[in-house]
Amino acid sequence: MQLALADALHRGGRNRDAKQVLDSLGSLQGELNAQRLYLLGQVAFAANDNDMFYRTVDELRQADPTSLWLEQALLSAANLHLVHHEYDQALDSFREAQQRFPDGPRASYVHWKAAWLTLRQGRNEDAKKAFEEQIALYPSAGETPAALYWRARLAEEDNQFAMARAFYQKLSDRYRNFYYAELARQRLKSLPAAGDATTQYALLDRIPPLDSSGKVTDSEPPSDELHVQKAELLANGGLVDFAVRELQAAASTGGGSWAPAETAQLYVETGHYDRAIEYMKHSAPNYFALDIPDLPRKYWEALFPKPYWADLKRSSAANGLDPYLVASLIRQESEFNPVAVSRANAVGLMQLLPKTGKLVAKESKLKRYNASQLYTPAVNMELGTRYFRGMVDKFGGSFEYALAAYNAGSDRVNEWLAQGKYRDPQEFVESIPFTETREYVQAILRNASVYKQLYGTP
Amino acid sequence: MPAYAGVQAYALAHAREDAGALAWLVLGYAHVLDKDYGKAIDPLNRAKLHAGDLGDYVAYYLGTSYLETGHTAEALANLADFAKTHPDSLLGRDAQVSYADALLLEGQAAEATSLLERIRVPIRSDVEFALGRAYAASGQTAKAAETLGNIYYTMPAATEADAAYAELRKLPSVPPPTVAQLKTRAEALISRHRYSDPAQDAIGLGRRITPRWPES
Repeated sequence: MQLALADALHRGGRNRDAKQVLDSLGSLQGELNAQRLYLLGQVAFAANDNDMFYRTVDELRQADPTSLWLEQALLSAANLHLVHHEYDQALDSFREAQQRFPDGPRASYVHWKAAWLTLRQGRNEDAKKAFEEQIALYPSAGETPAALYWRARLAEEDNQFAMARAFYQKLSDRYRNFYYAELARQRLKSLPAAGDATTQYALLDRIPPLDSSGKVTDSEPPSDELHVQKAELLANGGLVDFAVRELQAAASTGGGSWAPAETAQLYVETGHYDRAIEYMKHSAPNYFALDIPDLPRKYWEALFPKPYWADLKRSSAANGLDPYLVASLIRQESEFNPVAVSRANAVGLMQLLPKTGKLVAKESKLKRYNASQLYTPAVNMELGTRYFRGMVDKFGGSFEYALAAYNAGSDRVNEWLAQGKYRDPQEFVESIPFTETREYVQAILRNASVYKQLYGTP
Repeated sequence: MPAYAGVQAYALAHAREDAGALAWLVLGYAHVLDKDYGKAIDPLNRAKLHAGDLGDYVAYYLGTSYLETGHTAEALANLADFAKTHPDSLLGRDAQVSYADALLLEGQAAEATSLLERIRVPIRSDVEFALGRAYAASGQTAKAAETLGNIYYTMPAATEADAAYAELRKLPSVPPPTVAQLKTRAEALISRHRYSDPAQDAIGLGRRITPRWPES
């Protein structure tokens, strides 16, 4: 109980109080003691007392080497080493976490981080083994697509084109619209022609097939159902939330796959694109693993809408940008909510800071500009695409670097680029230390590809 | 407001049609959202005649608007037969809670208690809150404390949680919370990433159970 409350104090930002409570508890037994030590470590971590943090991890290792609190502490230790560019120590911590807890909740993640650091250190032979081990040990985990891709890349470097082809093909088939699946399809196009026989790799058979329960067939709502009729009436009056409730009531009694699409459609018709996207993400959480025909068209169009399209295309063209990439960026930034405001006060569709908006408006000689115009979709996109173009130019035409800079800032991207050599922008993306930024870049590039598949030539 | 005027003009122009009734409902509901219940009453009354399938929405918001403006007799009249008239309505339980609130205001706490006990399951914080107040009004302090405490300690993220605590404090005698209750509340808030309240609670609890607990 006291540990839970100390945790609350720590999370509530009262670290000094939390430490006092933890110190007052003295030495406990078993898991409770492990939790106490873990929390003491987190308090030291929060206070930037690194020596104390590492000492606490050592103490935890001695006191209870099998506790999952140690797994968490080792992950924190690895991340702290990464922040300080202590890559060997970070690798050791990731490895220790994986080896001590091969079935732990973070096992796949820490294994992947160790494998990736191995590649980054130029130890390709070890990295190959680590990637294969990743697939073998954790075939259902989220890191498998990355392991498949990078193992195939190393196979290409060894001129093992059959292996590379098999791995890329698996990625493309099994992880249909994932970031790495699109990269795999691009690599497949540039591989030398295949030989006579397709080589089989037992390792690939360990990856479980896609759960086909995610597929959805189209159906129409029952028009004679009272709740459906009420939903139509309420929607006509713009009472969207009531209409959605009525649709959900109809779906709960009648079933059918029509409800998510109809609900999303209600949101779209009233301009709530963000709510439509969120609703569909919730209704079809596995959609990135599915091929386009596996979901009704209405689902995809709600997930990847094209609002403000004429303005979006015009702004994109004016700055030499692919409109689908811009749509994908907006989807990630604001989900097409023109009045979105972030905690950092970034505004509108492309989430521009007011000072950025002012600067770009001045550059583009926009007359009578004021900050409230950032809420106007056309103005926001005009300024946002120009700003993004500037990022692309600053980073030599690389959309990967530009997207990372759009999210985390140019200075950080320059700092990350200075930390080592990268084969190509894809290696840079996987090496981005901020999980949020890494996933942001990957999501935007992946989504642009989905837009293209859905709508063809813009 | 211009938007409201536009809807009103449309409603007047289609006064004898379903579309007009829908427009009056939209206008009345807009006033409800503004918490301007007095202004909601007229458009909702106008919506009644041609409300059709949306009659439950009109009746519920009209009843609630009467209730919020102190016209409890009208509120009771509008909500009394709601369950019979609109058996499939999604607003059924909301209407009963409003009806019970109106009964309470009319001094019929026993009737309110009886009604709310019948709709208590599945549990909902607004029903519990109304029931707690009804128990308190009918002098059943222990039951009121238990019900209101149930909201504050086991449903701390509910919109009624703070109001339930305020009602609890009004009761003449309430036993102090148990450690288990405080723990449940803290865990529920932490699971919703709300840390400051449990941290504050922790200080109070800590002083009770740990002699060396820090001073705030």
